[in-house]
Amino acid sequence: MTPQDTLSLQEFLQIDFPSILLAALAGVTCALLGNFLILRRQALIGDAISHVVLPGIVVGFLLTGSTDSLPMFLGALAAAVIAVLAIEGINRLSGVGREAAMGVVFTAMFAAGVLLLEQSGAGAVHLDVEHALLGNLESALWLEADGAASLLDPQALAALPDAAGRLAVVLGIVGLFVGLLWKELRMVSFDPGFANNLGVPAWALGFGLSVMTAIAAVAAFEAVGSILVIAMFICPAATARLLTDRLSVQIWISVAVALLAAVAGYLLAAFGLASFGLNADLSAAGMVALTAGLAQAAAMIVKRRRLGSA
Amino acid sequence: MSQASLHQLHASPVEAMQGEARGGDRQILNALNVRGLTVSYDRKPVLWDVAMSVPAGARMAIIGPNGAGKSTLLKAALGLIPRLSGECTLFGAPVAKARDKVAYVPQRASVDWDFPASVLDVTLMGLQRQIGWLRWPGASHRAAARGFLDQVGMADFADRPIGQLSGGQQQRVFLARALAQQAPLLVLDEPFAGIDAATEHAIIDVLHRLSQDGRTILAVHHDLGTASQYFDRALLLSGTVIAEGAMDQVLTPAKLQAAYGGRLAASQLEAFAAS
Repeated sequence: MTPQDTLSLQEFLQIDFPSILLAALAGVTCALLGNFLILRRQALIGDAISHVVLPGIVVGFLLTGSTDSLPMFLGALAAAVIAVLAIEGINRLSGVGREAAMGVVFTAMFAAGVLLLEQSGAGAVHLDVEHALLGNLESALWLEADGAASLLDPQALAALPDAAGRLAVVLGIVGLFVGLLWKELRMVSFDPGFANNLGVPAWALGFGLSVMTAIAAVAAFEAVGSILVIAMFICPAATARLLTDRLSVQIWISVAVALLAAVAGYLLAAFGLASFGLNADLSAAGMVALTAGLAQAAAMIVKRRRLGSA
Repeated sequence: MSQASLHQLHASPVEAMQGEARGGDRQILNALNVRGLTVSYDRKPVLWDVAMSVPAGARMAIIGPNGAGKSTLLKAALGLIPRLSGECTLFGAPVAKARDKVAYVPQRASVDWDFPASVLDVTLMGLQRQIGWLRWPGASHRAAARGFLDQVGMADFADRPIGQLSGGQQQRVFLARALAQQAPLLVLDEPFAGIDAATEHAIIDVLHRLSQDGRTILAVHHDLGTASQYFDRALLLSGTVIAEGAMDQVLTPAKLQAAYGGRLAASQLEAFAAS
């Protein structure tokens, strides 16, 4: 290996790898849950949760006075779980339907967050809207990496961004949830009445899915921003749904699409236009979300052709 | 699945029932017993003080006009929707404690059939108790599910996506899924709605076989013309119970008039009077 190659691998690991890792972890976590959310017509719950976390972040800051990511994360998580509870509660008590309940809860909580921010003086703290929307993928760095060996070195791995560790834990929890309860989640999504009669509680499993979604969304927001989270809940699973009629296959395809979008989207943003000699500063999270959207468009074309030839 | 649990799977539900009857103190063992059931949607009462007894081994139809609350009665009796008042027992036990004794076939139109699952996947849902929570179905469960599909003439469709089925085929898959539960009471919501004649015959064949096997059948039924042919008992419902008992005592012109009001043509009433 020439020194030039080594340097570029080191550069890749330090600058590009952590961003791709964050996008991939967030993408796969959201895609796993997205499979059930689209089947239950709850795909936009990610959008709702992206709004309700604001009051949680502000309260987390006010209680601790710190802008560390952990209190913000816990505040956001608490707000998301409260929102999920409120949505289910309003839906059950008033019977207005889950969509209307979602609309009421997320606008009200977002507005409360804005008021809290203005009244408490927390607004003086830098709140970067662009960061919240598009995330901060590019700023993820892994300066301890000095070669391929760092990928197996626990000490070097420990220096990866905190968000990567949190996302890996959340991915593990979500993976276990979906892997173990796959059969039950499918049953309550397809036919809740039948499931209830069997003693498989549709409400409890739906609520568990919502809580998992809240945890995944909050863990992913801080790393990749809300646009990418919303896209990753919907696009990989919707793409996969178009390509298969088996849920197990659909889940694997959605994971593959999420990984593909993370890698291809990041590389396109980082190197795509530069290789054409253009010097454009593209948002990596935006490009990953766009790639996932393009994958879905491609799947729609494939499906139409298949239907046409059948 | 072990050999022992396979045996349990095929044990006659009647034996299980009789075992329970000896322990119970009721003189007549009803498969399903409903007393004082009142259900309302948004404060509008749908069912009012309904009582229903489904004797073990009966083939019973719930009959009534649109909006009579027939499906609501099934769902409330099984505890699937909230009730304002009322007591429901399955073979003498509270419904929540006897879920393994009833298999439920919801209305075909109550689910979205554009769902990523095969015919076999849906049938396997009926084996949830045998498979258990958190476990994935094994080869023996798949073989058992194929056997139940065979009983409804759908074995060749096992690997077909459910989105490709006709209405009649959907209904047969729902029946196979309920058969897989091996429950002594089978509850069906409008099993003959919008299906082809061949499917109707296939379902009737299966129900007759189950009935001979000692199982109890309770179904919401729409067609007054076939009711006495398919069932031996009836509950005539119109928000409240109009009549309950043997088919020929329930389907009388006066009682039908009370349930349906002007909605039943005079010629239909005469036909019943004549028969």
